[in-house]
Amino acid sequence: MNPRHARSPLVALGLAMVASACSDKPYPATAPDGAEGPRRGGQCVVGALADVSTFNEYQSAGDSYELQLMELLFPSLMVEQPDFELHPPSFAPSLATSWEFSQDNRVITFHLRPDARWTDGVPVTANDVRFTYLVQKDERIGAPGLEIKDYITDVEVKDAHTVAFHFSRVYPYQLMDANDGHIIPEHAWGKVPMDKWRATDFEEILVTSGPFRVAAHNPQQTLILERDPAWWGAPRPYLDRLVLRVIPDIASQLAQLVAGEIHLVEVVPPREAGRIRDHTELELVEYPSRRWGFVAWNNRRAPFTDRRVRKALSLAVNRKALVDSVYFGHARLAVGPVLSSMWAFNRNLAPLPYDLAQARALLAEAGWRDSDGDGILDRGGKPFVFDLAYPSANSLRADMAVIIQADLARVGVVCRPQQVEYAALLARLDAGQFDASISAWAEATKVDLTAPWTTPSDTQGTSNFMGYSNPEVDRLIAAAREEADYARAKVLLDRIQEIIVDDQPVTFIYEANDLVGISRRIRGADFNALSTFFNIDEWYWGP
Amino acid sequence: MSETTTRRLRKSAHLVATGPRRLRVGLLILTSLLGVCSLGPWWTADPSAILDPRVAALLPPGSSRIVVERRDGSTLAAESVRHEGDVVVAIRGGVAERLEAGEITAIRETSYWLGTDTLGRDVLARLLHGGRVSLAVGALALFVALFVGVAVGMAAGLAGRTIDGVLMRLVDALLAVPMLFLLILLAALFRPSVFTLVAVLGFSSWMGVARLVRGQVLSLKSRDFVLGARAIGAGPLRIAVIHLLPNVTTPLAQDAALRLGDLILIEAALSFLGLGVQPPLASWGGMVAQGEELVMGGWWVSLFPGACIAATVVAAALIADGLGDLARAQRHP
Repeated sequence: MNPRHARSPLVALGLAMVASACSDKPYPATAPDGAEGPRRGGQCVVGALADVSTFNEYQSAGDSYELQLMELLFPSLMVEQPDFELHPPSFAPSLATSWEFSQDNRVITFHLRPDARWTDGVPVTANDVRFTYLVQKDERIGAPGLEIKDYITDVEVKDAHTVAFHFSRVYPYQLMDANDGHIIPEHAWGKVPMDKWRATDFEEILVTSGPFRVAAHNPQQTLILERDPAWWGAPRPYLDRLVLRVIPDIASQLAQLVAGEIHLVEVVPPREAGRIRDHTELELVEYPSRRWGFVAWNNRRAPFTDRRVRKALSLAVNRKALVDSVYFGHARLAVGPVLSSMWAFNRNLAPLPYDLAQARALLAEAGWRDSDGDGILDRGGKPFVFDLAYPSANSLRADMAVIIQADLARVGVVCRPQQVEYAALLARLDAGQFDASISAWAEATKVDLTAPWTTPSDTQGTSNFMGYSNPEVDRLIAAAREEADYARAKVLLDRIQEIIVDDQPVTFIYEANDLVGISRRIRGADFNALSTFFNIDEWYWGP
Repeated sequence: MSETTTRRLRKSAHLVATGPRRLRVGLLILTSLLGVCSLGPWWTADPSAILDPRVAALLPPGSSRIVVERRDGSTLAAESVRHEGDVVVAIRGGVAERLEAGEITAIRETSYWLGTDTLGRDVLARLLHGGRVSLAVGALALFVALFVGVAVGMAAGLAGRTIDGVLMRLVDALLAVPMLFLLILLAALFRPSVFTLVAVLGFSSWMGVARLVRGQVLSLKSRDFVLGARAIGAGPLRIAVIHLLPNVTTPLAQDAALRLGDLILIEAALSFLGLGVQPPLASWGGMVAQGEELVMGGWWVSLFPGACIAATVVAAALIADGLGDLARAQRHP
């Protein structure tokens, strides 16, 4: 996953859901020499909830569906591997065939493949790599993820196919940060002055270099991609065409999937998973996603300033039942600030139990008792009442809010669910005007706890809208970020997780699974949390 | 109750009984909805109770489940339950679970005549409670609209000149604002609750009433009975209440019936947009919204409240038509 959309709050399940479909009518697949194994041909029709708004990823608002498309059209130096469960991600060669670190680790030199070509025949060179870096750093363009390149001081063109990245410091994610973002064509797009970028339609001067190229685009209807025969990975991809059809409604996408019109839906709502799984023509693929959800307590506002209160509220919510009912078993209980599928996860930690007795005891310790016998806890004459905000038009979170309300009523806490329009909710959270909110984040494969869990400051970007602040955690996070050796960093990360779980600045609720519905006729697809199209060049039509 | 009032009531009852069929059908539908929704909740389960959000979720109409109550206040639903000594074996979602008998305080069976929603709440209970909310919000908002509308219309019609001009331009200005847009704005400004919903709906739909009343007053105020009343020294308030109001009731009632249907639809639309009554309180509009995503796998969640909304609106329209017929029949017997 591209670190650019690290911890983007999610509006709804499937903010950028894509469904793919394959239809072989106009393009029948043919077996090469009647042999077993991948066959060439066929077209894959991909349905999308929204049309692509730009073909220039540095003009995009960071929509994950658009960024996935860029993988099909533009090269990147390396391909991040989905091995984040074991250690920080490793990288496989792509445009760069090899790379080496300098003696002091401050310079990484990449050697580019000489046979890479843009669709107009111009070679992909080190100049394109440098140009991409300049675009990423340009404040007039203001591409999202500008700060990712903070420690890269220069990208130096050694020769046409050799490029060196200079870093201001040595840290564990140098390769990841160098690799972030796809390479764009300097000879075609360099002519546009950077202050005109925001207003430019790059589709008119589109030049690509990927497994697929754009064949036709009917805005708001279809985007047709065809196999690029000049791509260096030839003879792959096996599929001839990939058609993205705009179907703005997930229910319609599912109906078409079941009807066989569409053969792949990227994000199947958990409620519908059983229907897809039981269908004989379809397969349901499930794997841990990088999305997780929590109840954010306003750590700056009483009574949530008290750690005992936050912990009591977590203990009083039957999170297991909640996750089982809302996600129909297609999610796991979240434990702490690091996803349980990550190498950095502290495997000694377990989710807090559901323990009403302990919750009541902690609340009593914090001074909350039912002194007037009305069944509602009070302190200093004030009842324990709070608002739980969640984005409207999100039925999963609406269900969660009602379950949390019912659970907390059992310990005498009044929770008032309050649905708020999404943009208004974000503004309120940023301004700290909330009691509690049901929120969700999409986590990057880079483990950096700085933005969400360190004390918010005015000078640094933060996603810690909860206002959580623990000096010990601040210190440990700073130390872990500096630590170049990941085994040593892991020790610090383990300790950080213990403290944060103990502090419960949020109630950790779920880690959602991704559910992909796919036709059994498509073979070779390997989905993972990095991308649905991770190995698109290996997909083929089964016999 | 004075003798004249009794006689009037008897006369109205007679008119309804012998009057237009549309009026009778409309009143029958509306009163039965009102009756069922106001009395029904006494017999149904708690509409907000989440007995078991997993095992009891989205059960089709006519299902039933065994509910196990435990000492710590939590509840479980099961398909079947059997005792094995000190242990109770519950089949939940097809899987057998063993529960300590000592932990269990009660075991009972619950039937869901209209099925359950995504959280396993009883749709019938929610339908009846939601009906109370929707009908009450509609009726109260209608009352607010009538009160403000009649007052403004009377004042404008009787006073004439400047006051009339100012009030009617105000009405024009308010009517020019798109209703739903205004409601969304107001609902975003105020914390959504039943009270704000009534206020917002009422204060944004009185303009039509005011226009109607003003028109009636203008044509009535130069009639002999009004001039006569004025000649013997009746003040404007007395003229308005004693002499004019009874003469505008028929068109007003007709208008009110239609408006009630509108208000219930708007309440449904607001709940659908998440700006109506807040969870866990049910309303018909909110239930339709909840079921919107479930059309394939849970049609019962939205079908029944949707049908109730439709029935109320149709009944209100029939009553309005019937009242019109009645008025014509009285004028030309």
